[in-house]
Amino acid sequence: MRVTQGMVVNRFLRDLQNSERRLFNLQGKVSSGTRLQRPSDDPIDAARVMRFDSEDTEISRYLANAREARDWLGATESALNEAYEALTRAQEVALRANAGSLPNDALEALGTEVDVLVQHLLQVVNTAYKGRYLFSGTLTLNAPYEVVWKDVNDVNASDIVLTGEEIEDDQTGTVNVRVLEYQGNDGEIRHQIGMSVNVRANITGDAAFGDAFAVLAKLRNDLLEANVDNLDEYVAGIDEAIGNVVRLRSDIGGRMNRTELAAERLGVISLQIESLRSELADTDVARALVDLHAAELSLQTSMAMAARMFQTSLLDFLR
Amino acid sequence: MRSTFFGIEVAKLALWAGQRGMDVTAHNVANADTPGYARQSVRQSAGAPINAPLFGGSAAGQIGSGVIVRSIESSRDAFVDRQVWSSHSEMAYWTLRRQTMDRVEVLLNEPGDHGLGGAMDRWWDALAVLVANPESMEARMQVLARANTMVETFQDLDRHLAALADDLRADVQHRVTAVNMLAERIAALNDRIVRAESGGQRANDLRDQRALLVEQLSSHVSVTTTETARGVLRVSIGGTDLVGEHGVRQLGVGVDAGEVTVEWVDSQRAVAFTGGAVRAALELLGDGPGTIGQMRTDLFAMAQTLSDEVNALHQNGYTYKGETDKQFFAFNDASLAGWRVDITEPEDIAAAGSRIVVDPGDPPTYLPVPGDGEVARAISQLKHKRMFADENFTLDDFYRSWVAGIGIAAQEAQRMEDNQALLVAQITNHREQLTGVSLDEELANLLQYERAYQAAARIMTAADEMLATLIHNTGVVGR
Repeated sequence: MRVTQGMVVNRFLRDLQNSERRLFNLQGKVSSGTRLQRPSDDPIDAARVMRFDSEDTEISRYLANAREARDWLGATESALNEAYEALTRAQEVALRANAGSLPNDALEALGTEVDVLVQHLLQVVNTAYKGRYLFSGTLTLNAPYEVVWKDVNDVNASDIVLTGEEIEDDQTGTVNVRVLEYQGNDGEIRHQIGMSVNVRANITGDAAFGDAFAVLAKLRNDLLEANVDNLDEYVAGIDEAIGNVVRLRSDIGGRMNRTELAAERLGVISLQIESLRSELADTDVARALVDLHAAELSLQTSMAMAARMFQTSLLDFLR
Repeated sequence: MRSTFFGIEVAKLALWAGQRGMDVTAHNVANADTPGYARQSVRQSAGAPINAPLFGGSAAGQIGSGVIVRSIESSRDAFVDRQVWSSHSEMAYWTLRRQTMDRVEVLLNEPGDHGLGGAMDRWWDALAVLVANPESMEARMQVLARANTMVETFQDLDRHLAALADDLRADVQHRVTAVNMLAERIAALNDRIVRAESGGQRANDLRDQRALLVEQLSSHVSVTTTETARGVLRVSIGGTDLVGEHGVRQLGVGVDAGEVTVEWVDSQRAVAFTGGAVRAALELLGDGPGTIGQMRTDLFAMAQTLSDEVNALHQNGYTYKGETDKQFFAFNDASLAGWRVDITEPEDIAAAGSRIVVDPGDPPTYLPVPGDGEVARAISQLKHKRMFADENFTLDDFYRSWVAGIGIAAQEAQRMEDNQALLVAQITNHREQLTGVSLDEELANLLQYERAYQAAARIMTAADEMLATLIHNTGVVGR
């Protein structure tokens, strides 16, 4: 084979180019920390990494939703606890009144206590969490229960009337009474905590406290008027209301458990995705550094070789 | 009977041959780095011998009459040349494809946070936040902001792909101009070579120049070549002569509604390219899978489907003002550039699936249900709806496979270019073996010719001395 200077130079340049390119790629991998800098580096893995990134975003959101649902359910649970306390207290009052032979002023005092309990329960049910009322259904910006004035003639049996402060309109002669009214709806607030997994985070005030308010209002009204005729019925009603709260509380507890479990699972999946992604996309730094070193060495070698080859010429030996 | 001056004559021929050898060596050394130059060498042979016993005498053998320089030969090999040219065409084809796909990949910015995939992820995420907080104006603003970013990212990508296509069209135009110029120069060299060679001597340096021009030509277009007996090199593209025996046919570029065609100016027929950069550019500009046009079509389909699906749901939802039948996106069927988010106020996002009718009169009045995010939920579920490719792919799937497709094409182009570069290197190396100038070899030749010249000069001196002996020292008996 004939060898010419041109061949030597060409091969040197080509090898140099290859070495430089290899170095460049390796440096990119090391400095960016990823072996997938563009889709063509490994199209299939790149698509998988993109899928992982997308799923990771989604799972982070599910986790945030789960936390939100848990907080919301927690706030609901503590509201239910307070309602339970208030109802238990009201039960004691009703039982005491029902024990009989209390003078009228003592009954009225008990009535005042029930009135305070109603006010307290009203505060509890109107709890807001992050600016949204917990018990209004999807009408989250309305306080669930409000005291409104209503024409006494329009009042029907299901209305929760608070007697004692009727106002008569001087001109029309209509009498207005105070009525406790539910302002929300029965909308469900659901948080997505998985691709097709939703957890309902709310219970509506109507379902949770409607009956409680009704019986407490009647108890209050009667006691304030020293009427003890229906106390048996109220004791039973309060029992039922307490039972309802307890049931709801365990329902909420169950949902919290479910949410916790889902959050834990999401955390595990998130970790798995991260490790899979890292396995696919991250540079094996030790390996890359070894390769980098090898590439540097081969570059230096070929340069040193070239320096010697280009120096040697027949000219050096001719006189 | 040899002539008295025969020895001087032989020595003179030897001096000439030595000189010629040194001339050629000098030419080789001077052109050692000239592109396209092929090493030349002297072809010499012994002169016609003289029969010494011409008249039946008894003297022995034939006497050589010295050396004759027959010709100056080029080391060029037509077969190797053709291999080089065709490998150059193939290489240029894949190089242009690789460069274009490289640019597309840079545009995609994937995998990473800053590509379209990331923009879509963030839009879906903003929707999920809205589902959880439908009464939050911040969540609504974020949905709008991210929808706008997503639309802009779509449009940005589309615009850059269009610009890339424009660049390719310009590239085709420049290359066709170059092809026409090269064809003219090859034809001109054909003329000069035919004229120079009519005297019987090979026009080595002109042929080198011509081969170099064909090499340049073959990176633009793939050519086939044949040389006629007179020395004309016919260069044809797809079976039609570009440079024929009697001149050149020009190529022309036609651009019609963004479609580029290259045709023969005289016949108006499309040129059938078989390789080279022009073919690669035309393929990328054409239609079908892997073309820039197809990439833009896919992008458009993604945007259109997304826009339609979102609108269909959104129009059934209720805004924060209790209004309904509002579209979220305004889509322009003509181009992606006209796509935009049709909503500017965060209240106008129809996240709710219900509203409160306050007064059914005329006009009716409504109140919103602030905590209702059911329509937003339905829209956010579109992320998982299989609405592409016969309802096999979600938007994300489709996008990812689109990116992977581009990655595979880029990888293929890169691999083919690497393979082809190796082949070009081998063939070029082969040619260099044949035609390259080795300075060491030329130095050795130079020494050889120099010594031969010195020796010839010494022979002449010897012959001269013999004659001097004859002239001065004979016939002087008794002087």
